[in-house]
Amino acid sequence: MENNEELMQQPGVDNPLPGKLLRETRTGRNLTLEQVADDLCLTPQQVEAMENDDYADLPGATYVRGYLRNYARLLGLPEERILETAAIPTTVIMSGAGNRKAAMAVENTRNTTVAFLTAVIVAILLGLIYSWWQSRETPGPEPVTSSDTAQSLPESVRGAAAPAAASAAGQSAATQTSAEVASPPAASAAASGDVIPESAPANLPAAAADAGTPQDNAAPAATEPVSVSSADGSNLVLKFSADSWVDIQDASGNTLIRRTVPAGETIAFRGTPPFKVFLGYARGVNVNYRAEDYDVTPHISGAIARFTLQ
Amino acid sequence: MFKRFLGLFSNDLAIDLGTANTLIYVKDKGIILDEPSVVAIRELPGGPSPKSVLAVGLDAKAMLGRTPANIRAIRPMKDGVIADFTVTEVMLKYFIRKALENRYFRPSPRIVICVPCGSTQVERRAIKESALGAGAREVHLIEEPMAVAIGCDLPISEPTGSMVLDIGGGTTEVGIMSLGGIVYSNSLRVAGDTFDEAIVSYMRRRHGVLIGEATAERVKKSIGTAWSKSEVREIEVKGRDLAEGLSRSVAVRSDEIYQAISDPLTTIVDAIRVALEQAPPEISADIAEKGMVVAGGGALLRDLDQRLMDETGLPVIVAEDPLTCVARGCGRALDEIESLGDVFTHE
Repeated sequence: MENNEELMQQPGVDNPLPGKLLRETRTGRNLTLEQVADDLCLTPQQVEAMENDDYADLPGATYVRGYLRNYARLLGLPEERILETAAIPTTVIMSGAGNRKAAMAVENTRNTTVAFLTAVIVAILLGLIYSWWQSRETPGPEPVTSSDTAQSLPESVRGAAAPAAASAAGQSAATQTSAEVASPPAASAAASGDVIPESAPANLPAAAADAGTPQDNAAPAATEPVSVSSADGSNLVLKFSADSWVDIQDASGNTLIRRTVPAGETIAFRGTPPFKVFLGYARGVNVNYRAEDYDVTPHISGAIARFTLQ
Repeated sequence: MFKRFLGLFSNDLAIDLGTANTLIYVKDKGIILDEPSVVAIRELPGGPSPKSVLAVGLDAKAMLGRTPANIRAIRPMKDGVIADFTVTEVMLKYFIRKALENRYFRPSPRIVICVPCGSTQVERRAIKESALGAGAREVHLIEEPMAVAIGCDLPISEPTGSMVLDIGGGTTEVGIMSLGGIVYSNSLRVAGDTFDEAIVSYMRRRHGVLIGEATAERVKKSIGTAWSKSEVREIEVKGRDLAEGLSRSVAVRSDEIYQAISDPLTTIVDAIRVALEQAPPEISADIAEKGMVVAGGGALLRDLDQRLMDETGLPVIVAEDPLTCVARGCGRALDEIESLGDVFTHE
């Protein structure tokens, strides 16, 4: 046994084939080929082939490994070392007809590259669909929201807005009418009851600065309702006391707005009448058209209202 | 088309749903789960759900034979087939979820499951339904001898006979393959569990000591032998004395275990002889020249190959890593599912 170990670990001999070791160990134990073949249930030719390291005539890799293991165990040699050093050819499980099918199967096997590329393409498509959807939501002229009222309203209205804000600074926030509005146009609007409260633009520092009223009221002035007159007569102003879906189209079919507007916001539009208006929650929207409150009640069906403003 | 698209993302599985152990092979990853086929169930009298699963796999096996009245540790597979459909489905679901790591994106996998060649149509359908119920997209069945042959790299598609013997927990399968098909197969309900029962019976009869099946399995693995000329080993076994009712320690020798399991081993040897008799002469000649490959947990029984060589006169080869041979074969069948289409079985 010790001799076998020495033989396998001889310096300068890197992984010698196991046939020589098997033969030397067998002859060292005075065993004939026939005796070994009888013990292993093999033929003497098969045992000799193993000793010659010639596996071509043996059945296949699995069998050869099994025979070598059994032979090594019979001789008391380390099985794993014998198998490691043996140059056993590997077999292909599906040869012949199977190979043709295997070739066809190559394209069907899972390919991570294809999976990755598919995922990337799907992601790009989803991105394009999302951007298209976003672009659909804001078509036509931008609706005039409270934050840019000063820029979009006519000069006369803008001029009125500043003093209105200044004067309103002295008033209670709850007071929706502007009876004390200093500006003549605003005052006239107030008199006629066509006052459209609207948040003062945040970018009107003058409004706050001119407010000579107590300082503690200056800050609320920025969000104080202001009067907006419908100078050109085609203004449509919506004030929301509750969240509501809004969809408005003008005479040429341009969509002026199509989205849900949160409560507290006021939006003014200019366009060519008639306007087709759809309100998702009509009771939460105050409609002012051509400087007059428009009663939507007759158009309310359930929660929605659909009507045309001529 | 949609299925093929999904297939790009799904992790296909091959499952060796054995009586003793369940192994799962994941495509491109290898065998990633090897757990006992045991489920522990807690019974809740009067509760909203009368039964709940307490543990599956290794945790449940530790409970076998040690449970209080309201917990049952059961093996849902018996003799290679489903004994409890619902519990098997729960167990499969647990194992599949454990095997597929991705928690959020888990497309339904294709699954290959091996079945004993002697199983009936009803039993095969039960296994298929169970896998579908556990979330499989597509289920293929493969007979165990074929899976073993593929797992051992035998040249099954060549015009030469290859013989395999798979001694599992519940069944022993004998199969002869040639040209990609099964020429002869037989399934015996005599296997590892039968050896354990024989050891329990022997200990009771010979030593008057009652031991559990887990202890019998330990004895079998440590000193069990299938050959009369094996080196004799000894082990201490603790059990309950049948006369006194107290715990007693007994020294058991390997030659006693050889005697204990001799009957079931003889049954297996007889089955091999019958297979050789039934095979066409050319194939018998091939097998006589090449030999037989033994796989499954039973192949690890000491000197089993020597016993089989003595009894049959054939060269006997124990497969490398015999416990995972079936799972590897199933996995390889899965990897080459398109090319190996005809190795699968149908209900």
